[in-house]
Amino acid sequence: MVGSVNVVFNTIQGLAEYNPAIQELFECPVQINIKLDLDYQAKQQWDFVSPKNGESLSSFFNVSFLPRVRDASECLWLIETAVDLGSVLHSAADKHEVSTPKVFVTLQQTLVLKRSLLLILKNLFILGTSVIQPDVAKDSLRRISEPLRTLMAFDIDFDRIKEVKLKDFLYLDQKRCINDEVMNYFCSKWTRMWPTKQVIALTTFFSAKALFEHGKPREQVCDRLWEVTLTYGETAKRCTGFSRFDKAFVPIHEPGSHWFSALIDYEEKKIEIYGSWGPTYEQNSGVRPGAQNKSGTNVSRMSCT
Amino acid sequence: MSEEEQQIPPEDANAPINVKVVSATGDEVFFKIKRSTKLSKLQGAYANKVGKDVNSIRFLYDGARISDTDTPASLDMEDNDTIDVMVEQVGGCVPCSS
Repeated sequence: MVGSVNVVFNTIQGLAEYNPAIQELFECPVQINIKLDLDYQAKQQWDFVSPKNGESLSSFFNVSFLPRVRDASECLWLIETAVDLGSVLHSAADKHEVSTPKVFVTLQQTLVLKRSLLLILKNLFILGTSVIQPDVAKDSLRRISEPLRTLMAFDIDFDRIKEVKLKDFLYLDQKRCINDEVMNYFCSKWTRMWPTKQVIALTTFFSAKALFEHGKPREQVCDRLWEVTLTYGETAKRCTGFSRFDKAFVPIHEPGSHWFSALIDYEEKKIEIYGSWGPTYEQNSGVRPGAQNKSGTNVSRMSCT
Repeated sequence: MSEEEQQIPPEDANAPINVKVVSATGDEVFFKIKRSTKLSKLQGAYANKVGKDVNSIRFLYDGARISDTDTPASLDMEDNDTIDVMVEQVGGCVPCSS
């Protein structure tokens, strides 16, 4: 890592000679080294320590917990700066028609990825500072550590979930519920089950807008559906670069706290419904493998993907 | 197209535009916002106005989520464009009887 960083510094210095403005931006390249070290430390902070016997919770919170998340937050800020500087450099290189070295692109990608990880830590920081009463602090620690462990176990692609925040995953722990952000994340994850197909995931917002009105299914769906589908379809095309779709996931939130998802299969001209209703799943689990596949619950799918 | 763009004086590039924020129930709130102002500011103002936590509502432009760093300029928004607002949806699996 240090080697590649040096290459980047040399590149930066090379470019800096080319343009005094860049030189100004990169006056102290040593700082970037610190950033990477801090980043490594921040990653270590995922293991939460518990208060020792006899240690009061409030002092534990102030002495052990907060400084660590504060470091992480600082580190996040440094990385964000590095990413910003990276973009400046990138566009400067473009402007002067200097090819951006591969190693620099890789480093920038790594930084973006790590930034997402650290965003979660920043959320922790906010949560940490907002906690005043020791009792609540204890509870928070317990609540935070569980979803974080879950997150780690899922092998989540942090690059793709900039919208999902720690508090969204907290629903899983406290209430065993899923909110729209988590649902959208998993639907977009499922699209990657068919790497060779053009699969998209419409969002929960699509169904909320197109299919429901005032908490009830729309009486007349046609005009509205056409208009909304067009907008969302175009957006999906723009985001994925697909010109047509083979399959589309449509996550649906039934008012009254129930999630299910439709999978529209344009190739086979069929619509599958994945319900998350426990009894249906149990009933179908014992029937036959074919039926079982079709009625696998969203929730159980989540735990095995 | 490019000719048209050149005709616009530079001041106009930063002139405020009107944005309509529409909730799922059809309520509309109008905002005037500079093209370079981050939309997160508008999101905060809207949340304040309707008395909701900004984290419990979602803002969409043309079906795509608006991120905190987006501005009307970065999204190519035009005068009188609409932003959709959705409330957070929460649901769960009915516990299996075992």
